[in-house]
Amino acid sequence: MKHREVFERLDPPPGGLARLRDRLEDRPRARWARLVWAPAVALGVAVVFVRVGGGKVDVLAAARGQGGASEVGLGLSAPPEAVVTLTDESRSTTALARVPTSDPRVAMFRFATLR
Amino acid sequence: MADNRENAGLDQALLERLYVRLEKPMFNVVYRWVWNPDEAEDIVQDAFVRVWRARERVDVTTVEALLYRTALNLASNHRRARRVRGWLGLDDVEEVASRRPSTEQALDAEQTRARVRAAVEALPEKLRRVVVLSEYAELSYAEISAILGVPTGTVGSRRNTALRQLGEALGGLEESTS
Repeated sequence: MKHREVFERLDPPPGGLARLRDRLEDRPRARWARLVWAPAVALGVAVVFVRVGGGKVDVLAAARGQGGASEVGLGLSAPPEAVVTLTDESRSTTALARVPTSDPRVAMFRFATLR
Repeated sequence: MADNRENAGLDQALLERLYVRLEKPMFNVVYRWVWNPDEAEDIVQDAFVRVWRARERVDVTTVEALLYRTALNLASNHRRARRVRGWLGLDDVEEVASRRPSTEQALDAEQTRARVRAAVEALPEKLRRVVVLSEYAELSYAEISAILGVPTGTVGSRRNTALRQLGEALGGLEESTS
């Protein structure tokens, strides 16, 4: 095979310089936009830090306060060993409270019983 | 290869002159990585835009090597990303079938291009980089050495190896004049 066939020089698509100029001119607008957005984002981050830093959060205490699933998740208490079935007879010795979850599709209940 | 306007800084007029001069050879180099004319042009332009954004730190005496190096790295990244998309089944068809050969002559040309592509693709990347820069961009060993950061002797030996492998894959290759 001939060298010029193998190493054929192709022409790039026309109008490349005009497109490059457009892209180079995009930059000042992007820089200007960044000047506006950067302080806004920084302010948002600062607000979050102030809110979080305003009072120290004790994760363990918060979990104990929520009880149930949070305590189990952090290993503060053991999950029930057996499946619990609530019946009419156990109504006087049991308590059931719904634990709030961030996902509405997940329902969690805290169960306690008097022995 | 280097522009003689030392210490003049990289202004837009100089960048545009560089683009006019380097667009075609850089396009031909990048095209042998991505095999798509629109993507190749985009990548060449990306290289110019990136160098333009870093113009305060750019030494104009070595800016051409920097442009080639940037374009090659972008092309390699693009190629890797496309391969990953292919594995994940996100790319429909890698080949761009916009040009349909309408005559027997055009069909022959397409077949030749396909054979050349397969042969170039089969080269290890370090050989492909050298042979593409030397044959498609017609750069000297010294220029390729500056772009790839390897000694000129290595450039020469890699080019010879690459041409030999291409010749074997294509059933013989007419001797290069450069």
